[in-house]
Amino acid sequence: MHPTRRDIERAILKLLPEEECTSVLEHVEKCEFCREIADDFRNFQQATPVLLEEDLAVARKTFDRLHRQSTRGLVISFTRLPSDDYHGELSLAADGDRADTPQVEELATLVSEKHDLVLRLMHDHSQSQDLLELVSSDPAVIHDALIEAPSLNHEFVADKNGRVLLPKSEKAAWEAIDWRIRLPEARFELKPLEFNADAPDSIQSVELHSEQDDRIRVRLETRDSDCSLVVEILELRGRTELEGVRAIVAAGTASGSGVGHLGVPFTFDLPDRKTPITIRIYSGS
Amino acid sequence: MTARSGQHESQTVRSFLISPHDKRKANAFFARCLAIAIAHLRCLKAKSWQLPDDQYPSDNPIRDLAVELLIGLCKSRSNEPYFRIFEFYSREGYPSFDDADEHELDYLLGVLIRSFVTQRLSRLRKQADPQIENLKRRVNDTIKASDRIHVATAASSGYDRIAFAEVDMSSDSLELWPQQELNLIAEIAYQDSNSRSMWCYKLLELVADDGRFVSWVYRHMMITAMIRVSRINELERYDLTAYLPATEHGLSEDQVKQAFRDSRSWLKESVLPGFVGKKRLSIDEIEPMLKAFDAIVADGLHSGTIEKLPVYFRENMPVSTHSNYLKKYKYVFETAMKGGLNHLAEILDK
Repeated sequence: MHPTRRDIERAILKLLPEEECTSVLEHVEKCEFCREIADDFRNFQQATPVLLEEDLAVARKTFDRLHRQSTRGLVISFTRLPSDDYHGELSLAADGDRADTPQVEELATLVSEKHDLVLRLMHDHSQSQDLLELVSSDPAVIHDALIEAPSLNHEFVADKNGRVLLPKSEKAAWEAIDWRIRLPEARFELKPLEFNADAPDSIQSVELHSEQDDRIRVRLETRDSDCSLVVEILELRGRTELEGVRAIVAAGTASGSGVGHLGVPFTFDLPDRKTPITIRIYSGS
Repeated sequence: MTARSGQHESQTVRSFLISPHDKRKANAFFARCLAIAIAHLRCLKAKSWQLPDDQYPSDNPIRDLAVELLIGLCKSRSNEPYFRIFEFYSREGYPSFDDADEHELDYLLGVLIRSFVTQRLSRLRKQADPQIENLKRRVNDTIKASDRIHVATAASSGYDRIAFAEVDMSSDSLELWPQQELNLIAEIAYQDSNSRSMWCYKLLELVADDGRFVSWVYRHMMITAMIRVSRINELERYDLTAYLPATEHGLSEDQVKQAFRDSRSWLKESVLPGFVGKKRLSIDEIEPMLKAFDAIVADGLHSGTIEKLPVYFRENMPVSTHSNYLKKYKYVFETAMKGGLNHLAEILDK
């Protein structure tokens, strides 16, 4: 009886107990069939390359795509770090005197270790402003995440630095509630608009498709100096009936959002025509 | 590369499996996948596989083909990130990875990528496979060089008949060997051999001793059977020793009997009906399958060794199924028998 291919390979890698390795490798020595399998595996090991930076650069776009596909519609909850971890000590001045209260005070730190994410809730004393900061090694997460406070039915989009100014009007205990982030189901990008001086009033319509059966129709309406974008989500994951779907349109520093059903258009005013437009689609909660 | 994959590579795989949404870990994992896929493609190319790398007009078409193949492997579905990868590890017995051996996880990634790439490219495999050519040549050389083996060309068909010299090939009182039956015999002979020439002899011995059919075979049918077995065994082989219930358990006879009854019931109620549901097995075939299981366990418990699985198949399953062993029953039979033995071993180990 021959050992399995896997046992031969595991014996070569010394992944089997020593006795088994010895027995398998002894068999390999005297068996033509098994020796060929062992040779094959050794050739495979020797053929494994050390990848060059240029190889990785070529593959990066694919890696990004695969990663984005895997996080599609992902909802990430956070764990609150014990307050001692960030409140305990005030920084001291060099002469040993107690330093001034920092301008920005951290109220709570929430983490998702699995996703390498940190959400910091802070208070800016100088502006009397509560703010959130989403920290991630992946800039795409910061750009794309919808930060949600489900108990208050609030959702926020971070700026390019991952920051959100929380509304002053609400005296919510932001530090006490649960937070989560939601990543988009689909993401579409449009190039900056080209202003056509001959046709200052115009309507352009285009249908965009993703690789994962998402489809939207975008209509750009320019009238004098005003410009608006009408987004209609036609299909999400191949489905044409979904409720609570949200679209967020971002152009430069401006962003707008709309909630609705598939097939019902949302309208956004675009203050800035010269920057690329990103449209992100989020599913309902 | 050292005998084991480096510590860093092994950690890469485990870290990714624990946190697949972490982009840094995912990128490192993709890079590891890419290196493995490139290595495997290089090996296939060295074995004269015709790769579609000419479709990639870059300075490194193998790398580009590997990237393309990884897109299929690392796909995600709704709420199922990298489902092919996680399904594979789950089948391999890894529902979680916190305590898993990182070298084993890295090795299994190689198994997955090699089989995925091979499967994807198999239809492109060169018709004149050098390994198959080598097998044919070696079999013919063995026949030619042997004093014991005799070749006679049939006057009617012009085909070569092969048998041991003492066999009277002119006697036609028995039926000719059907190809499927020959495939089964070739599989059994393969398991008992450690070279191609020994395989030829063992096969001809089984042909001569069988008694149901003529004592000789056509050369082309014998080679066809050997090629078929060779291709199947290129991918996987029987692995029974791992499933054999150990005899040194120190358990009472009653405990062993109870464990056997439990595993038999499990096979009867949970495993075999599944195959019936998938139309891989008929209801009438359940009982003979259980008899085969009984025989394997009886041999294992009493003598500590068991025969090759096709032997139990032939002894217990209806004759009408024999010719379809490789094509239809091999997977079902092996899976059921190994599953039952594994289940028994688990009960005994508790």
